[in-house]
Parts: sequence; C-alpha cells; structure tokens
Amino acid sequence: MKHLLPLLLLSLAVAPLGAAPQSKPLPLESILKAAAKIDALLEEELAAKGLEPLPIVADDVFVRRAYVAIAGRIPTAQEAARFLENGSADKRQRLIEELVASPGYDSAAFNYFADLLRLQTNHEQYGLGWHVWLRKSLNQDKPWDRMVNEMLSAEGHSVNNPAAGYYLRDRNMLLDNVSNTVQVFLGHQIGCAQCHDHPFDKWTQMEYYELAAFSGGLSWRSQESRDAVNSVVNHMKASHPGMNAAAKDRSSPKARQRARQKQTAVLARKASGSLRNLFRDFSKNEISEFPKGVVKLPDDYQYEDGDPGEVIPPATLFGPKIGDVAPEERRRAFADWVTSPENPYFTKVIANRLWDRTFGHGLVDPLDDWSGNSKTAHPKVLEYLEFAMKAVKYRTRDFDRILFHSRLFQREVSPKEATPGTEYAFVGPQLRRLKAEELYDSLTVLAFGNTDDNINTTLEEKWNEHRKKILNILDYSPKELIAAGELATKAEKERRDFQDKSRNLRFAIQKASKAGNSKEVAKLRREETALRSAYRDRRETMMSSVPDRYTGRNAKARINMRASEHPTPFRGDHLVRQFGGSDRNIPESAHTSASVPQALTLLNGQIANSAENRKSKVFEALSEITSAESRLDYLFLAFFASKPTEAEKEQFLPLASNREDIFTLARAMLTSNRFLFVQ
Amino acid sequence: MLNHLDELTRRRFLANTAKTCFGVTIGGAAKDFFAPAAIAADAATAAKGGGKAKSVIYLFMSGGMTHLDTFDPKPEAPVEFRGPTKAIKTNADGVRLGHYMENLAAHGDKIALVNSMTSTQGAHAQGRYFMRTGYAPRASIVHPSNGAWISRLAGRTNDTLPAFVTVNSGNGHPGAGFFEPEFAPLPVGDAASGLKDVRRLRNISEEQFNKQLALRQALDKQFDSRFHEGQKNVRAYNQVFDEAVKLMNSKDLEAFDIAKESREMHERYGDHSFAKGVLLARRLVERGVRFIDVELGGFDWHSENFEQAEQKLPILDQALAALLEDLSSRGMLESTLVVVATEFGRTPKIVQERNGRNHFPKAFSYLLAGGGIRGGQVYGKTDETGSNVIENKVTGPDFNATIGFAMGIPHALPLMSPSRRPFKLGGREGEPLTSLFG
Repeated sequence: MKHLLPLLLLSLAVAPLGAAPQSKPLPLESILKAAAKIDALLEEELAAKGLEPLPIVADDVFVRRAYVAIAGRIPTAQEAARFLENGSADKRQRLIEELVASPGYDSAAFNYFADLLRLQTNHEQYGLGWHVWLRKSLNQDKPWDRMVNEMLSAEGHSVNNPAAGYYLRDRNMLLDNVSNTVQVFLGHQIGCAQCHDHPFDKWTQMEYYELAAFSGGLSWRSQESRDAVNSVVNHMKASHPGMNAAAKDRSSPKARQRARQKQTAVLARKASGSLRNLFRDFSKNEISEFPKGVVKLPDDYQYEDGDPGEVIPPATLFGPKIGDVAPEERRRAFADWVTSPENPYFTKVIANRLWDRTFGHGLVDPLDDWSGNSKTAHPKVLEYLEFAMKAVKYRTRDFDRILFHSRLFQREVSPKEATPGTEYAFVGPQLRRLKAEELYDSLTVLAFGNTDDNINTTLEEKWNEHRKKILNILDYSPKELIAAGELATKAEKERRDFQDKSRNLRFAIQKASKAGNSKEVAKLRREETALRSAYRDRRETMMSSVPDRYTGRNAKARINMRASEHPTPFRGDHLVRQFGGSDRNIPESAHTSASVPQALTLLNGQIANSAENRKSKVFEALSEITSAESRLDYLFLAFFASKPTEAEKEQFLPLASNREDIFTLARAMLTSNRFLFVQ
Repeated sequence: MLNHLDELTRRRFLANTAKTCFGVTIGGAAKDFFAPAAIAADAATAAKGGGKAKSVIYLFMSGGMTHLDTFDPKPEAPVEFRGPTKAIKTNADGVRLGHYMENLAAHGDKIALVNSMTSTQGAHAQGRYFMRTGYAPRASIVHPSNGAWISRLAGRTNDTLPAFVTVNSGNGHPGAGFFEPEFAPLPVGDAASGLKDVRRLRNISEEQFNKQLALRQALDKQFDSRFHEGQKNVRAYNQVFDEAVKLMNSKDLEAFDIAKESREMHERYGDHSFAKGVLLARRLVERGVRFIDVELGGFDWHSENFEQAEQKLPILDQALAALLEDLSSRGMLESTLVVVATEFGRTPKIVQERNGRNHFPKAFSYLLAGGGIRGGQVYGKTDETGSNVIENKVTGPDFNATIGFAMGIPHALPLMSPSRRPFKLGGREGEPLTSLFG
C-alpha cells in the first residue's frame, strides 16, 4: 500500500472521492481517474508477465456487453442502432453513465445480491419485507457496509426491522448462518469446522464456536407475542372465577399461592390457545436478543482445549480483537467487527466479488475461500480496489462505475476460458453465457421492448398492508386481542373447510370425467367456481384485520416485467430456473451451465414462437419494415446488437424476403451461441 | 436456401439428422433385445459377485437423513437419544427399521443396510458434493458425480436417451464436473410433467425445423471458430442442441411419460412428486438409462425431528418398497442397483429445546438393494447410541467404489482432469464393500 499512497492522496486531492454527499453519485471525473489507475496498474502487471492486453472491441460488441453487464438485458434494436449510428467520441462513456443510472441497473443489482443473500420472497411473511428492504436499499445506494451491518445486528419483528430477514432465513440454524456470514461477507469457508477442526484451512472447531458465541443471545422467539399473551392473561385473571376461588382458598397462604399459580397456568394455556392462530405466523417473524443466551460446545467435542457442553465466550477469527463485551451488545459488536474497514477481508471480498461480476472471474478466485496465501495475478489492482471501495464509501454503484469505465471493460474476451479457482491475468474479460435473469429479461426485450420502467409496486403495497395489520395488533388492548384471536381462529377454520370442500369437488370432477359424464363435470366445475369466489369474498372481509399467511404470493408481476419484479426464487420448472437462476438455498447458487431441456425449450417451447407472436415487438417491426435488407438488419440488431456483415448479408438476405423463412431465421437466432453468450 | 451454408457444416448437420432419424433406436416393447448390457466385468469382480448391475437408481435424501429413526434405530438407548421412535422387525432376521418404514419391512430380505457410514463434511452443500463425487469440494475444480462416472465408463446402451438422468436435483448438483458436456445429466424437474417441449411446434414444418438447425450453425460459424475449442460452455451448448434433436427423434421418449403407467401403479408408489420420480426411474431403467439420481429434499430436522419423521419418511418408505417389489416382479432387481443416500446423519442426542437433531457426519446409514447385493444383511455397526462407528467404517468414496463394483466398472481407474491430475470413481482411496455381494 505504501508505494501507492502518494498517488492516491493526489487523486483524492484532485477530486475528493469521499466528500460527496451520500445521495449523489460521484463526479465522473473522479470515477474516470480511478478507472485509469486500475488500467495503469493492470497493464503494468501484464507487461511484467510479458502479456499484451487484448484489443478494444468494436462498437457492436461493446453496446451489447454494456447493456447486459450494466442494465442486465440486451439492447432493443433501436437502442443498438442509435448507439452504432452515434458519431460522438465519448459515446461509450455516456452510455455507461446512462445505464448505471437506469432502473435496469437496479434490477440487475437486485438479482445479484438476492442470490448472494439467499433471499426468498415467499418465506413466511418476513421474506417479502426483506425483499422490499433489499431492493430499496440498493435503489437508494445504501452503502454495502451499512446494509450488512443492519442485517447482522438486526433485532425485533420484521415489520419494524425487515433486515431481520437475514437471520429469519436460517431459523434455528445459527451455526449454518454463521458459516454463511463468514463465507459471503468475509470470503472464508469455515463450515467444516462446525463439526471438527478444518482439514485444510487453519480454523479449529473452537474458533468456530467462539465466533458463533457472538450470536449466543439470538433467539427465534417472539418477545412481543409473549408480552401480548401475558397481557391477555392478566386481563382474564381479573374476571376469572377460578382466580377468585383461588384467592378465597383459606387452607394456607402456600396453598393459596399454589392455587393461583395453577390457575394462571390454565389461563396462560387458554390465552395462548385462543391467540395461536393470530400469532402463529407473527411469532415466526421476529428475532429477540436474550442476554442470558450462550453457545456451548457440542456433546461430541473431541479436542483438548474444551469440554463437551462448555460455555464458550465470543472471540473474533482475525483482524481487530474484541475485548469484553456486554452480553446484550454481542451481536452489535460482531456486526461492527465484520463491517469495519479495519477488517482484513470485508472490503476486499466485496470489491473482488463485484470485479468478478463484471469481468467474469475474480482477481482472487475462488471468491469465498481466501486465505493468507490467496494468489492473484494482480496484487496491485487488488490493493487499489480495496482502497477504491473505501473511497466510494461502499457505494457499490459508484464502485461499479469505476469498473465499467476501465479500458479492460472495453477489451475483447479471451478465446480461452480461465480455469475457475485459479489465477488469471486479465488480458480481457471472460466470455460468459447470459445469466438466467439476463436471458429472461432479454426475451422480454424482444417481446415488449424496453420494460425497465415497469416496476412491480404491488410487492411494496402488500408489505405495507401486512405491516399495518401487524402494527395494529401490537397496539391492541387485551380485549381487542381476544376478539382478533377469535377471528383468526374462525378464518383458519373456514380456510380448512374450504380446502376440504374443494378437494372433494376435485375428486368428484375426476371421477365424473373418467366416467365420461360431461354434464356432471360442467355442473361440478360451476360449483367449484362458485365456492372459490364465495370464499375469496369472505376471506377478504375476514382478513381485513388479520394478517395474511401469504403476504407475497399475491404480489405477482405482470408478463411485461423483468425477472427482478417477480417474487423469487422462481419455481423449479420456470424458465429462469431452467437456465440456472438461483434456487436461493446456498449463496451464489445461480449458474450458467448447459442442459438438454434448455435446448428443448429454445427449440420447441412457446418462446420459440415469440417472434411470430403478433403482439411482439419483433413481429411488429418485421411486418412494418418493407425492404428485405432492413428486415435482416433489424433481426441482427434485435438479437445480436450488430449489423450483418457483407458476407452475412449475402448468405441470409434471401431468407428475409420470405415470410416463413424469416421467422425460421429468427428462431435460429434465438438458439444461437451469439445470442446466448455475451462477448 | 441452404446453398450459402458452409459445406462442412451442412454435412455435419445431415449426418446428425441421418443418425437420429434412421439410426438404431429400439422401442420399449423390445425390452429383451435391447436391455442394457452388463459391462464385461473382470473375472475377479465376477467371482465375488460384482458386475451384475446394469443400471443404478440412486435416491438422495437431501438435508441429512436421520440414521437413528430410519436404518439404525436404537430402541435400547436412553429416551433422550431414541425419542419416541420404535424399532420394527422386517422379514429378515436381524434387520430392523425405524417404525416409520412399515412397507419396507416386508422387503428386509432384499436390502442391505450400511450402518457404519462416516464423513468429515458437516455442511449440506459440501456433504452432498462429497457423497456424490467422492472428493471434498475444491474451488479450482468440479469433480464429476458418480452418475457421470458411470455414464462415462459404462457408456450408453440407448442411442437416443442419455445415460444419466437427475430428477428434482437442486442447483448444486456437480453433474459432469470436469468431464466433457456429453456426460452431463439430463435434468428432469418434475417427474409428473416429464420432459417438456420434446415435440416440434405445430406451426413449424419439419423442413423449416431442419433449416433452422442448419441456420443456427451458420449464424455461429465465426463465433464457434473463435470459441468452440477454448470455451467448454460453448462446446456444451453445441452438444445439448445435438442431444435435444436426438431426443426429439427418440422412439423411447414415452419413457418420460409416467402417465402411461396404470393408476394402480401410481397408487403403489405414492402421490408425492418423489414417488413419481422413482416410478420414472424404473421406466428409464427399462430403456437402458444407466444412472438415475432422484432427490427428496427436506431432511434437515433441527427442530421437531419426530413430527417431521412422521410426515416425510412414509413418502420414502412407500416409494422404495413399491420400487423393490416392482423391480423384483419384473425380474429387474438383479440387474438394478438401488441406493438410498444422504449427506450425513443427525445428532443422536436430541436437542431438548427444539426436539430436533443437528448435523452429524460422524455416523450415518445408507441402504443398498438389488444389483447383486445379498439381501437381509446389516453391514457395520454403531455404538449403543448411534454416536460412533465401532465396526467396518465406510466412507463416501468406498460407497462410490461399491457402485462401480456392482456395475463391473473399475473404481480405481484414474482419469485425468484438464489440469492433468488423476481422479477416480472411488475417490482417493475408496474400496468397494465386496462382502455385500454374492
């Protein structure tokens, strides 16, 4: 770092990277300086290895890459043409700035971080809140260190603190949560040490438990719902005949006390029973901190430095030590340690992750298995990235801008793939397939054009609705609580009745249709529809004050919205999942591997017909354009963001004058590697 | 219209079409004629009873299946270990099961329990990876899964169907690992809906479809000349399009359609999507698919272990019992190895507050049946609480070596990774459990 300092200070003096207010993006000038610095260091390091960087790409490759990498989708034919025809010298710079500020960038960033954090929109009720929180945090450029800190130190009910979703995600699995935290934010795999000393790395099982001990007070129980039950119990006590009887028990003070305790217990059971349906889901959406909670070594602990069942005090793995910390402060101290700029990994890990996201390979690879001797072909670049991340104050959008404005971002991809997990000298970025969401969004572009502005606002509306109901409950008097509890119980009973009835109807329909009794089938179907709509109406009234179990499920996105607007993860059979979209079970589970069903879908699925769909943009354009040559141009622009070469014109032009053939060409483009990959 | 296409490309395309349209594909009816060949096992393997299996049905219980409540019940252990689980007898002496496995109890004579599995991988993803590949996960390489090894070493018996199919497997499945894309599994998401999009769209004529395939190659000519060789994923995409077309023309496509099975058969296997996957696996084995990996998720019972056991285990029990009976009545059990696998076991001592069990890689259980396995036996042993293996430790690599042995495939044959390091089906030092056979 030392040798860099003068330069860094200089760049700071010219344009104070850190001084800008958080709501405003950094001036382009500072960003360009930082980008130039990266290129200088990178090319210096390449030269030292006797390597030449690859050439700068042509406009058509650039425009497609920029749209995909920054806005998460291919450009429309018009967007591509506009860029290609633009003659100004700084058009690449301008496009980058435009895209980084577009909602397309927000959409793509959300997909990326949701995969990293394993966000599941429909996980109980908190999932939706966490989803909305993450999206907003990213849209508003909340710094990464603050986002992480908010999640790791979160406490309370998710309606008050939706960042609690990070812990709620792993209910009763503290140890797994700790492993994931270290892997995702600090780039270390300590999971093995959960059960035994790490076989290859230096982590011991003791260290694992010491780290987990910071979260020893964390409990997936709801203090608020307990308080509510208690208030109801006290309320009932006042008027309960058993309580009076207990008070009148004259045999002895001790017997009186026993009788009272017994009665209280009876009432508590009754209260929690009558409130069960009201609070069942409520309770699941809160984490509480219990200062008395501890972490103990497992029963089968086998090493000499501790005994099975021993209570372990918290201690950090690396970096600044944390001294004595009050029990109620443990998790806050942990969150501060993880996100501190002094933490030796926190900054590097996110900087390297974002580098990988843009260039297709980490400066340090793998991204989540750092060790003291992690190898990189570009130590100076890495060092500078860490500095830059701190200088942009962990605003990932500004950090990304630096990467996008680098020359490296404009270089050709290497024809040979970098071996995952090994060091790679960045002569150019890596070729990659469109990520699943990028593919989905690109298909949306072909069908509907630019849909970046179509935001699914129902997600936030549903969440606010839910929030309001929950906050109401927290304000209820004991009497109101009892009434709401009864209502919830009734609603649950009706739900079951409805389920039973509709199941029976379904069976009856099956039976009737098997018997070939179409009249009966029609009659039963009508009954089914009536049952459903009656229940829907009924439910709407009943649920106006009772929180819904499925907050996010009705927040479906419309068909002309991008992947990020849907509740996620997508179902296993959805196109996004089929092409490797994250299942949100383990961090970064998204992939871009090929499979036969993908090919089948592109060949024979409904999307193969999308160009022929009369409502699609491609169809519209092809039917409006009168010359064969322009039609061919259009298709090349729409799918590849380029114009056909002379040779391609000669080869494909005959197809463009025949209606059947041009759709065949469009279908072929949809399946082509040129479409599926981004250079 | 194709005049402009590169001659070589066109020839390659036509050759493919010819192979898929006129090549030797055999319908399901001609089972005997077509039944997969056992690999010519070497004499030593054959003498020990190996080499009889032609296919493997690998049922993976994802999340870490409790051994104490399934294949290694401990009714004599203190209640804080055994909980409410009881042991039930099977039709084979000495083979006991947790009481959730009533149907399987009628097939004790067909199964071998391995109660001495042990591992060092206590996290889900790593554990699954280790059990499927025989190697601990490394960032610099993806090892091939056991199915990919079998697919590569046993080869295809059916020209148009893949050798390796996964059903309901998550994103983390190692698949073909560093092997070439042709050994990658065909993933089926939901067995009930089978393979989607296997028929040409109605509005597209065969002529146009073939033209489209040729155009794909023409459009990619330059791209491929630049990237096909150096980029594995580009090769993979060229491969899957070829495979997809082959599949479309396969006479055996109906193997993926479990609706062809009788209602009675469906009822026997069960309603759950896993049961449909097991039924699909049987249909695929009939058509020569070598390895089918069917996953059942949701075994991570940190809380309410016994409630969850009541709900989940009967799904496995019913489907597995139905499969064993079905294979046996069709005379296919001897040539089909059935495996129940998982990433690790659960802590024998119940976590009081939550009534759950945590991750426990130190001791757990697998099940084997068919494929030359001698039924009615229990291999290996844990102590009285199921906490330590006290007899015949078995590792994931040993287990994969055993699958190889059953198939007559050399488990110790090293194949080179692109980084020129040798890897084996049986992992670094896996040894087959030969005493289970014969």
